[in-house]
This record gives sequence, structure tokens and C-alpha cells, in this order.
Amino acid sequence: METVLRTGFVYLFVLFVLRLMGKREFSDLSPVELIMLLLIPELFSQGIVREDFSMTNAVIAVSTLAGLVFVASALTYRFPRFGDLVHGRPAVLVARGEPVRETMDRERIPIDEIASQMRMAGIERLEDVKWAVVETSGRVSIVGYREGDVEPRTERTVR
Amino acid sequence: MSGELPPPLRVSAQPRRVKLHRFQWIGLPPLLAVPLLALLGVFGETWTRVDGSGPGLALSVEYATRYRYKQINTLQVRVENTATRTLDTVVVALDSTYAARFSTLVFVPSARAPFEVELVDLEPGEVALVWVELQAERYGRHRGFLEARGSGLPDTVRIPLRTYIFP
Repeated sequence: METVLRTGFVYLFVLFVLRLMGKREFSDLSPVELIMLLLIPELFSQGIVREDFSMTNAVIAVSTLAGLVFVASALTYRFPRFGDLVHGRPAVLVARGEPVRETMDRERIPIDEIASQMRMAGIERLEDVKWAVVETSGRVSIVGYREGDVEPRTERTVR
Repeated sequence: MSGELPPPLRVSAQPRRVKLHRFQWIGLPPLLAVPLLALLGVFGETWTRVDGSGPGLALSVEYATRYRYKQINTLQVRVENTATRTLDTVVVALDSTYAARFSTLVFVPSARAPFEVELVDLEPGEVALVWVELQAERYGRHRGFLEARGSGLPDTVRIPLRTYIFP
């Protein structure tokens, strides 16, 4: 019984901590972030199994974890609001060539990182970015202006 | 502009229903049942107390009937002299077949011979306690007994033991 409660607690606690850390933790990891993610299981493994190294205990812990993952995944799919709570929401970093400072600061994504993603998308200038969005996975998606779209500079002038 | 996705980047809401593959229908119920059964204590420790008596001696044994591999538990024996005279010695012995299923057996008081404890000068009505610490070494169902023999008494008192060790 205790193993189920401990596994459940660790699952919810780690989920809570990772949500607090922000989206970038799920993307490319810096050395500091990597250390944290490597240490979490190390620190919690003893807390979950304690001195009980029996196969029964391991099966209970893994079943509990897998069950929680499945239930959370089903709930996030069925109820989008619950999904927002667990995964967060995508957020706009650049809108029609203009950086959205508030989102950049909140997600701790510097302009250099957006510029790097722009280069990968084959875009040279920020003005040519229609949308840059940090996805719930932590990756940055870039949507550039396409042929037929309103000329970026023109649109900015109009606005 | 806040960080919220603007309308062009949003997709319209679609009805959502969770559906399972056939393999998931088969596999998920037992997977989810394991933690539920564990919460109900199915894979936990259970204890029992068994009493027995013979002419001049009463025994009461409290022990774990179910616990997990490599876990340590205690078998507690209460020996009472119900005779009208002092018993010079009472030997409390654990069945060797049963004992062999466990490791690091610790007897309190110390064992005189393998798996045997000797209690001396037990006066009428006196109660003595024997503790045996057992670490589960082999999983499965184990059966055995614990017996007590008082000096000068015609019979031994035997208590059956049954323990299941989870893998």
C-alpha cells in the first residue's frame, strides 16, 4: 500500500516541479538542467522502494507509475483543460515580426535561441517571422511569411 | 500581445473520446488492478496468532503469514508453565525444514542448538518469551511447526506454521 502512495506522490511531485521549471526544461537541456533531471530518479528511488527490493514491490511501483501515466494521458486527451494543467499551453514568442517580451521572459527563451530556430527554418530576419511559438514540448516553432501573405513590412506599417 | 495563441494559430475544438486497442483492453485492467489490490493490502504483510496447549504447557505463537522476499519479520513465542511444579527446562524448537527457508535467524534468548532455545526454571504460572527474527530467503509457500517440550512432561506442544513469501 505504501509503495502505491509513495509512487503516486513522487509522480505528482515531479510533474509539479517540471511544470514549475517551464517548457524549456523539456527541450534541449543545459548541463545544469541535465544534472537536475538525472538526480531526480536517483533521489527518489530509495524513497519509493525503501528497503524492500522484492520483485513484488517493483511490480507494484511500475504498475502504479504506468497506471498514472495512462490515466493522465487519457484525461488530458478527453479533457483539454486538464491537458493544459498537465502540459501547459503553447505561447507566442514572436508575433508578425515583433518579439513578445513577456513570453520570452516568462519562458526564459532569449532572442538568440529564436534566431537559431529562424536560421534552421531558413529565415534571416525577425521581420520575416510571422509567428514563433514555444510548444508544450519546449521546442520553438517558426512560421514565416509565405508568398501571397501581406508583405511583412507593409503589414507592420499598416498596424 | 500576451503569450496566448492568436486565432490564426488555434485549431477548432473537436469532440474527443478515449478509445483503447484490443491489446490495451486486455493489458490495462490487470495493470491498473495491481496498485488497487496493493492499496487494499493484498501484497502486504499479514499476521496471525496461534495458541496451543498440552499437559503443563501453553504456547502462543504470533508470526507473519505473508510477507515479501528479503524482508525481516519476527516470530514471537509466549510459553506459559501451566503445571503445578517448576519445569527445569523447556526447549522451544523451530522445525528445521521451515527454518531453512529463511536466513539470518536470530533467536532471543540465544539458541542452544540449531533452531532450539532452552528456557530454565520456569515456575508454575510463569510466562517466558522467545523471539525469532527471520529474513525471507526463498519465495513461495512454506510450512513447518514450532514445538515446546517441558522436562518431565509427557507430551510436546506443537504449533503449525504457514508462511507465504512474495517473490
